[in-house]
Amino acid sequence: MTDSTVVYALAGIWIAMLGLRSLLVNRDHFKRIVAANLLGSGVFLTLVALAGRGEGAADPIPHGMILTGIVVAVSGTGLFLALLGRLRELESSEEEET
Amino acid sequence: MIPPWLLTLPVALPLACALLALTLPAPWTGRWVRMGSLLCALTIFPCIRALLQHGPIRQNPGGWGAPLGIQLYLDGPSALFLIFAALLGVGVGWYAVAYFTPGKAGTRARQFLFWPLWFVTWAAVNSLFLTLDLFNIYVSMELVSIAGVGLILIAGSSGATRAALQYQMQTLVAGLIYLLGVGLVYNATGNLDLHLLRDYLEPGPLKNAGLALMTAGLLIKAALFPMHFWLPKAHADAPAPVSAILSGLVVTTAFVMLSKIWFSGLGVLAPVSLHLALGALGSAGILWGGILALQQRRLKRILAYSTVSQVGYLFLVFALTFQDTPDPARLWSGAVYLAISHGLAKGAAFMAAGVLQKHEGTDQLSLLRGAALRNPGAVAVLAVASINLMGLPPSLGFVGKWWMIKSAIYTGQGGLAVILLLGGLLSGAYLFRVFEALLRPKETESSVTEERPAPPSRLGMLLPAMLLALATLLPVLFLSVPNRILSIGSPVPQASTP
Repeated sequence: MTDSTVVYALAGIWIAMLGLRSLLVNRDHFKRIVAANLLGSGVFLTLVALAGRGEGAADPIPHGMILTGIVVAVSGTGLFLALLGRLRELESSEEEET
Repeated sequence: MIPPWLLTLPVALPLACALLALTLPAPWTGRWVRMGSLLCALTIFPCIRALLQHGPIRQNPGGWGAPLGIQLYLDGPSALFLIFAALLGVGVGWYAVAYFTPGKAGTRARQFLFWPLWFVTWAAVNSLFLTLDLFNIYVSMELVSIAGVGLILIAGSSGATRAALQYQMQTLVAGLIYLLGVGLVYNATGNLDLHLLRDYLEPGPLKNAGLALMTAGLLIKAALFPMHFWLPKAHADAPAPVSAILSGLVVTTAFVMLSKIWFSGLGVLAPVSLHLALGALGSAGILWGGILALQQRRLKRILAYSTVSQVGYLFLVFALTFQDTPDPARLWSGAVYLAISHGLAKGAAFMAAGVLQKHEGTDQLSLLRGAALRNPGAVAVLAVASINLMGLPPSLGFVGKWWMIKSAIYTGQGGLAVILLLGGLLSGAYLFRVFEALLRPKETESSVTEERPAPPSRLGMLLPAMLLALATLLPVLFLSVPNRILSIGSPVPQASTP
């Protein structure tokens, strides 16, 4: 493990912690989904950093895992935002009824 | 000779059924779903026959073996869980055909989405039971969760949408935390296969952190105590077949995965504090869920909080392994039986609650008075399921709890035994409240009952529900059969005494 690996991995962990913190602090749905994505970016950065093995070629398997993780995170975020829009619609129609 | 594609069937067939359920025209769905679910369940039998003849089966789909490829692996415990998923799959499927048929015109499109989501859940759950690969567990867990979000949304209310939002957020974060754990373990060992990982069990900071992160991710997915807030709302507001899947199957899978990871060897890496934390969270969940279930006024809410409580029981098994038990195989089988019997019983209970809701027009306990006279079948199913939820003797739940309490006492963790007994007492209390209402005669006949449209036939819903409820009682009569299946390739060392 080279020095730069450690620096990048720790930076990734730091970003992930920032995301986790704002997830726990914020109640607003929109802020929380941004925070969850920040957490995701931190996790991916950590894994990319650990996959680099010094001088030689990087280990491809963590890259495959990260790629899958990104796909899941992006589609999950999309689903979340769609749900949020749906909830706004439902709430406004309920307000009209009452 | 075992065909090399045998183990892909339990995953591939439900997936194919999901696609067909999307494409077939509506009048055919009912018949198709009944046939399809039976077919998916029947594919389990050749797998189990092969298991009994040849021992654990390992297959490489696409010809790629570990460590590069992803293997499918069938041993005794996964076989039992396959049977469990098949029972729930067929039971809920047949029940839902009867439940959804006379739907109102506006809700039909949404109900139509139930079938593909239900088949996808089934396929993903089966693939979880058959995998040994840490990363494949991640992918399948995400599939289960996304399908779960869709299932919650079938209710369509703003409350259900809010619950789905919360669940989606939690499950996304849980997946990322789990993924980080997998990455750390891979980085430390260069392996993702649970069996190959057994060669790398000397503790190291990366591995320990990886195991802790994977555990944390799966705890969030399982809705263990502090992460349970979305559960009662989602499970109680959903239509009955959806509640049965969510509470019966989806919640159980996260526990199954965690036990697979811990018991296949990685558990030795866990520091004492992790064992104790799991025990504390499990105990808190048992008591908190039980106490809140006592305060609910709606039948489905009571059942949903009961799930919060029962999930707590399952996680006590990780606290109990912290000291050497004289009989780890018994403890492990106890937890497996508890997981399976809770899934089946809770599924049956939600199905019975659905019948009551359709016929009585409500699931408010105060309005359900005398329901035992009008819907004796549904109340009977609920009663049989309750025997199991309370952990009373002739049920599989009793066997599971008994073995867990015994190992708690043998290992000197009497506190956990007390919690287990207290939890049983609490579930007795909230379930007796339900029966007190159902069995008490109604004082005045209200006229509301006559105005509602004719409810669907009860038999189509009650038969599958009764089947599931009885499935928690019958295995006790010949317990040696599941014991024998469970011992094949079991990750836990077998005791010499029978």
